[in-house]
Amino acid sequence: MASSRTLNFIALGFLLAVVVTVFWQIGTDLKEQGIASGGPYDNAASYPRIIAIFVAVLLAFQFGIEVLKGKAAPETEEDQLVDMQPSDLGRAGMMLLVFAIYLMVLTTIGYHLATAPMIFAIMWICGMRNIWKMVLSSVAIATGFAFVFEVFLNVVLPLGIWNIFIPW
Amino acid sequence: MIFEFLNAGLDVFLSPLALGLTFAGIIVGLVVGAMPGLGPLMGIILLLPVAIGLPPVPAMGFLIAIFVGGSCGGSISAILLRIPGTPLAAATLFDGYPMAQKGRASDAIGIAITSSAIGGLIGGVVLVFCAPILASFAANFAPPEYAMLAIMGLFAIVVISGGSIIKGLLAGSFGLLLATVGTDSFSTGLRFTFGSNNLLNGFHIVAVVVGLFAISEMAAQMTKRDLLKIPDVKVARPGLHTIALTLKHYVNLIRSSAIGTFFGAIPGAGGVISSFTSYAVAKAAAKPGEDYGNGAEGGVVATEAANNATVGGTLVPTLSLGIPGDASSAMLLGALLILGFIPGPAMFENNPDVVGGIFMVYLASNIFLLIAGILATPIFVYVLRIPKVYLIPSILLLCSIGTFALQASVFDLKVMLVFGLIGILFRAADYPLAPIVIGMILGPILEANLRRSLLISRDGYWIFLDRPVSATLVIINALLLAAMVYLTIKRVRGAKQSELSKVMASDE
Repeated sequence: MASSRTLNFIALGFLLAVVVTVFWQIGTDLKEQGIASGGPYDNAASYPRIIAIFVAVLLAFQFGIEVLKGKAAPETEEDQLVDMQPSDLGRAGMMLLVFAIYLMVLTTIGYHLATAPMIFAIMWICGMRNIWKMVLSSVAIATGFAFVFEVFLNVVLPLGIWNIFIPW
Repeated sequence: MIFEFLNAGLDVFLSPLALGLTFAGIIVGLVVGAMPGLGPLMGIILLLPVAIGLPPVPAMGFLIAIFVGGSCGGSISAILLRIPGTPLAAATLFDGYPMAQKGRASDAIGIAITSSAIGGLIGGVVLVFCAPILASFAANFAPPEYAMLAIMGLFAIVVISGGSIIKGLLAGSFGLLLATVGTDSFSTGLRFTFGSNNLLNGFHIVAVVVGLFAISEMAAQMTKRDLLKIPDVKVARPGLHTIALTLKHYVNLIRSSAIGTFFGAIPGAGGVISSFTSYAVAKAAAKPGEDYGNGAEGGVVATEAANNATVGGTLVPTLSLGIPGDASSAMLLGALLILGFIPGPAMFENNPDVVGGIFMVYLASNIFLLIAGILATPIFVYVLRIPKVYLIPSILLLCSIGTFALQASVFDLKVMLVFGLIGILFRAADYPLAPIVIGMILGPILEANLRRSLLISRDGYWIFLDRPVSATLVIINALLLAAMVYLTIKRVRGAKQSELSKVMASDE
């Protein structure tokens, strides 16, 4: 399981990737558009460049702090995410996976076909096993939200390729 | 001048939509505040997509009422369950829970609600009087002052809000960089769009914030093992007599409200600091008979009056300078920007009806809080019994429909999911999320005013020192920066010493 120190390094790596992207875009795309140099009006790269340099300096400091911490006290079992079992993280991961699939299929199969199964799946992941209760509550939640958004807020929810809608 | 605003706002406020949504906002706020893990910020984020489709004053009434109700709602679960619904109510359980243990749960909730409402009203009076004065002072501000104010807002939040300064600055700077994505308003060039038309206007702030806060919070909730548990909560019915009980502590009430308003007006200080400070002051000033920590009414009065007065205080710099005091007021500022209003002196001059309307909805929401809180507490207690297995999918659904409703864009849903993953990483690595939002909101203000300053300057960056107010703000920013360096060195040394002593202890 990832320790808090490993997670800190992953976060630093992510922010470093952001800084690299900023400089890469300034050197390529912004330069080609002619907005990477000149005065304050034309130079759209100056401000993001200043921020990116600032972030790079902060990243160097934070990296130094993490390394110093590591030298002062090597990683122990206490640094692990002690309260978490793999099954706890697994539930969160499964929820994110189900939610990502839901967002991917939402516009294809439509709100009314996609939503109740998503709610049902998350309830299952949470540990609920009463099938009838799960079916009824997932349909009720999905329909209730659709009613509020479509009737009161005039939101057109994704109809999907079969144009499924409820004529309230 | 002050009454002109209130008069202009009264016409807009006295509509069934504005009144109804303000009342609805209080109910929603109390519910999200009472539920552990949610809170006013999450309530504002989840319902922002609903609000931005409405006229300005009803929309702001709805969101401000969620802020007000949410700041108080946390006390209900703190008193009944010993779990503060929000960090704002953490100090409330010192005396609120012991009161409930002694069979006085209804009194404790009634006192918490009454103190919150009165504290909020006192904060509101300060807001109504101070915001126009501050705005008229700021009317002479030019781009250099605004650029320095934006930097000050970000620095202050990082310094005061606690945690690692470098991580706070990194998060804030990440927000500043996110705000640069899209079409540059000066050169009309495209920045960091990677050829995607979806990014021409940058990331939609709501999609980013919903992902960062709501999706990551739901993932965090999923790791807990009480997903099917129905909390054992007894119904409490506070009565009108609790108003009299609260008013007995009038000195404490006024003092705590003043502390709350003061801390609210300082960017970054917020409700948690104010509620703990006012609790400490009330305890120090307590009479010999008052047993603080064992169910003293004064403890509940102090914390709840302070944390709701903070809301009024935090709206002062948000409305008059466009500098948010905390993440919740940053979202309110974001809502105003989406609705087409730029907070600051210009809004006070050009849209007095909107400013006055906001004053009115804030004052009214505190009165509604008293009514709804006293009458509808049993309902909130029932809400506390809903297991997380129903709440988590419902909130995820609200996130996705709300984000989709912004501009009927599937791309926004993808942005929400990606920022959900970033939010999970940042939470796990102990990075604060609020500075990202504040950076995203202050970013365009900072960049536009920085570049405008340089455009009008004949001496480059010296323009920031040529003007007295701007020079003062530069000095304040330099002091804040020095404080950041000092605090970082101190914390690193402290952490190193404690790690060493831990290693030595384990060796022994």
